[in-house]
Amino acid sequence: MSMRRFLAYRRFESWPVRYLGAIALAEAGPLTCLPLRALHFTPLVPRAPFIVISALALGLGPGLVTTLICVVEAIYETWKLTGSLGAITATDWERAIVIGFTGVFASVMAERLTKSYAQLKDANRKNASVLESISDGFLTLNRKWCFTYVNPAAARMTGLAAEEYLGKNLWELWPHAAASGFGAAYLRAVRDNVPVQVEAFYPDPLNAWFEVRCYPSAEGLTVFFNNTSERRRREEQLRFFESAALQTSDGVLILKISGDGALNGEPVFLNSAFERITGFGMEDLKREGLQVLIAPAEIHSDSTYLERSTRRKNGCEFWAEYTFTAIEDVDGAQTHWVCTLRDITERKRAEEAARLFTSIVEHSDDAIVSKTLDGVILTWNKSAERIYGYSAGEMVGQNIARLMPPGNSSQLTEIFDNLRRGERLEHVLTQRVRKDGSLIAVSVTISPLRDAAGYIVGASAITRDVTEQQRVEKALALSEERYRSLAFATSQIVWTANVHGEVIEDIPMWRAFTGQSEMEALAMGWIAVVHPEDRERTREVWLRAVKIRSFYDTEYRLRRADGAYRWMAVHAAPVLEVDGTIREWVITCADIEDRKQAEAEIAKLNEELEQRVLDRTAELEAANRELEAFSYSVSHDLRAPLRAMDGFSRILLEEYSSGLPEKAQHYLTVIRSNAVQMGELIDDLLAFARLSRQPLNKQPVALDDLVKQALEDLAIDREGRRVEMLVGDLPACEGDPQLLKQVLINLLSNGLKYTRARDVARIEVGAITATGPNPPIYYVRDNGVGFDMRYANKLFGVFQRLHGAKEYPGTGVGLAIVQRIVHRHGGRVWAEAQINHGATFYFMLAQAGTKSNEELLACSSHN
Amino acid sequence: MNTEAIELLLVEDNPADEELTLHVLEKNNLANRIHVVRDGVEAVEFLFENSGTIPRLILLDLKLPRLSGLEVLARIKQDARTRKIPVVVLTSSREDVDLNTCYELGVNSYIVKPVDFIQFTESIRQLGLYWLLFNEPARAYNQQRA
Repeated sequence: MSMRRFLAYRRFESWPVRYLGAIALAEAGPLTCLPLRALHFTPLVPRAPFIVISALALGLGPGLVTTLICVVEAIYETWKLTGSLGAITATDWERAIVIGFTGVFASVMAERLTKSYAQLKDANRKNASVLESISDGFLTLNRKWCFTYVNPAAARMTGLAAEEYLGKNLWELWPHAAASGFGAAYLRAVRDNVPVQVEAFYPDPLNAWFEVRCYPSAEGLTVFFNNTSERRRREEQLRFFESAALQTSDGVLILKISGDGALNGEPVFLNSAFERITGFGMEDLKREGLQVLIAPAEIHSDSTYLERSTRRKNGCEFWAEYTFTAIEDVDGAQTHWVCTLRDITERKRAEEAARLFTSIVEHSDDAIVSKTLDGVILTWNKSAERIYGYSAGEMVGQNIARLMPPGNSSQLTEIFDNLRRGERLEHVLTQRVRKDGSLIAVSVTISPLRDAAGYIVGASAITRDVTEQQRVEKALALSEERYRSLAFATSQIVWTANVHGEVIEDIPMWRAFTGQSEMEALAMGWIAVVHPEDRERTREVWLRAVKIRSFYDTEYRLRRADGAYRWMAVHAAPVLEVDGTIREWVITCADIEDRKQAEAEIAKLNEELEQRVLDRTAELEAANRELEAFSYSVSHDLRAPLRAMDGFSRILLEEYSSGLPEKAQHYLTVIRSNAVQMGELIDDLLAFARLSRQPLNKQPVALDDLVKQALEDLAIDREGRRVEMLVGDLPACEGDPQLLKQVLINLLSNGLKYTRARDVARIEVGAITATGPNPPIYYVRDNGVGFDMRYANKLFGVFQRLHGAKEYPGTGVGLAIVQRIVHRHGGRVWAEAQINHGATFYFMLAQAGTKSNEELLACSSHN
Repeated sequence: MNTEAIELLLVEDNPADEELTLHVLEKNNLANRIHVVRDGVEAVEFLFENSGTIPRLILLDLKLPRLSGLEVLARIKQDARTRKIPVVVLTSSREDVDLNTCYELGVNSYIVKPVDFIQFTESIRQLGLYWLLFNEPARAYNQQRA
């Protein structure tokens, strides 16, 4: 220590000073030896201490210099004393050599000491600097557990300044240390004098993990420590991540990004799940690259999500979900890709199933509605829209109670109570209210909906509109009932046959009628009781109807139980399936024996009647022919004599008048006028007769036109007279225009004739239109002489006249013709008159609500 | 030469009508060469058996003994030799059936004999004038053809 101190205080650094010092010390020996000269020391001895001093104090060079000087001077002095070199004793030489070597040795030793001290000092300085600057906490404790040194890192980590530590007692300053792992470590290190390392948590106020290494030292204890909280957190995190990566059921693959950033880098990690899912291991991927699973080109961005159908190593396909994420280093350069892979085959399948299910629900013909246990509607499909009339938008979120018929809320409560118990309602027939307020009959199936944990969270209701179905069922039931009633009510035998026309079940009515047993009638057995003459035909007709699937109508004689054959009318109709095929036949057999007999009777009567009609017709035709021949003869033969009478009378009058007396001439005139009148009578009579034979040519007739034509024809009768003609509104009618014109001519000429005495003849034609179905009544009114109503019944008789021929000439056929024509039209004619106050002739062409005689005849002849 | 002389064939069974007719024709100088037959058979014989006897006009009554006027008319109009002779039916009948049948058979005119003699005279006179004087008969060319 003293030596080190001495060396430490060495300040002679510059070499001239040191070498001068070496010379001075070399010369200091003799000076100090002067008082000791008497002792006759050899000159070297007093110099020896200075050689050592110089070597130690001034280093190697100056020490050697001092040594040399001293040795040389000592030899000189000795030479001087002895006078010759030879006189120097061997002892002296030995002494000189010893001292010289001692000087050299001392110089070398001193130099080495100096150097090693400088090195030591340098090391110390360096140590202190390191402790100040290291990031580890460092502190020293003395044997009294007081802090002797605390470096800045330690101060920083513990939140106290270094000054606050120094001199303080560890256990006082950090009271929790004793109870923590740290205290135990310190004590053990000191006790066992061994380095101890520990990592422990220091609670308040540090709340941190520290790793502590303590080393016992002579002074006490040296402690290094570090806050490891962050590291621990990272490690933990890493452990979690690692565990996650290893344990997750998702495949994890980490690839190094190759230089060009492409995804063909080398795999650096894959977990067992990855291998399990894909079948590819690390070796496979290293050898074949990622493209065995997915085309690298599909990874576009830093983070890519893909769902791909992927082929396993064993060749099976599965749906994979890939997530590629680039990992960046601290500089932001992408170094790795992390690929996570999940087998989503199940999910895909579930999605597909869900999609299908949704599609089924959407396209179901039934309303499918889901709702919560409170009745709040969650889903509402298309058919629900159709059946209830509400759209999904209107109903989702609404309460299902809206669909309940008024006063039926208890039903809903009951339903939900059942649901909560997990009960299912199947095909319950009930009623619901549509949006438009109408009630519909529905069949409802309600099932509880459970969540994944099995709790009932809602209900699904499948509803079918059975309004139509109920109507159809009701109609069907009614129809069946009606059929049954009909079968009982009718006297007919009603039976069914299969599609081949065979009887396959018992027909009680058939058995009762024919006496056949059930077995006898089966298949085609029934035909055995058909009359032998009808049997073959019946079989043919029946089998043909069955074959061509048409209706079957026939008649055959059927043997009754009593052995009598009865005519039966048989009708069969196929009962069709929905697809048009025949399901069965329904056959009815009606006993028409009585009708047949009646028909035969009628036929016989008809035949007789027809014969009688033919006979009668022949008679009538003969009579008609005779009548025609008669009128033909009349027309020919009755007129020729008249013409002769008139002709020759006239020739007499013209060519022989000179020889005839006046009286004779008068008589000839009378003969002539009678002949002419007779001719007129014949003409009228023929015309009248012709009326009956002439066919009635009925058509729509404008009567006013006919009146106009008639008046034109009668122009000659009006010549030289004042005639006032009034023609009113005449409704059109149906009739023979030729004949009706004759009616008008006759009536009008009548009117003109009997108004001859009037200054102004007034003739009015008109119609009285009645309401309802009655036909109009036409009339011709004149202001003529009229007639006595007492004789009105004679008015329309042939050749009946109410006035003298001289005054009003005529044949008395005109009104008879009128009546005949009107009667032929099914009408009626009558007259009203007063003597000297004119006459009115009325006629109508059809009587109200009746048919004309001819129409009636036509009808009856058709029948 | 005799045949050429026949201008008018009168077929009439009623002597009174015959006389009256001839009276009117004579009075009016309408027919000098008139042959009268009194039934259908005679008429047919006259026309077809004396071959070449072609009158300029035939006045035919319908109601005739033996062969009726309609039958006579039919024979005349069916035969090429007589078809072109104008036939005027002069009858008392106004019956539709007679009228229609005559026209169907090809009658050239149909006159109803009036009962009134004045009218009768007028009818015959006009008829004679028309058919014997004004009307241009068919020519010999046709006869040769026939």
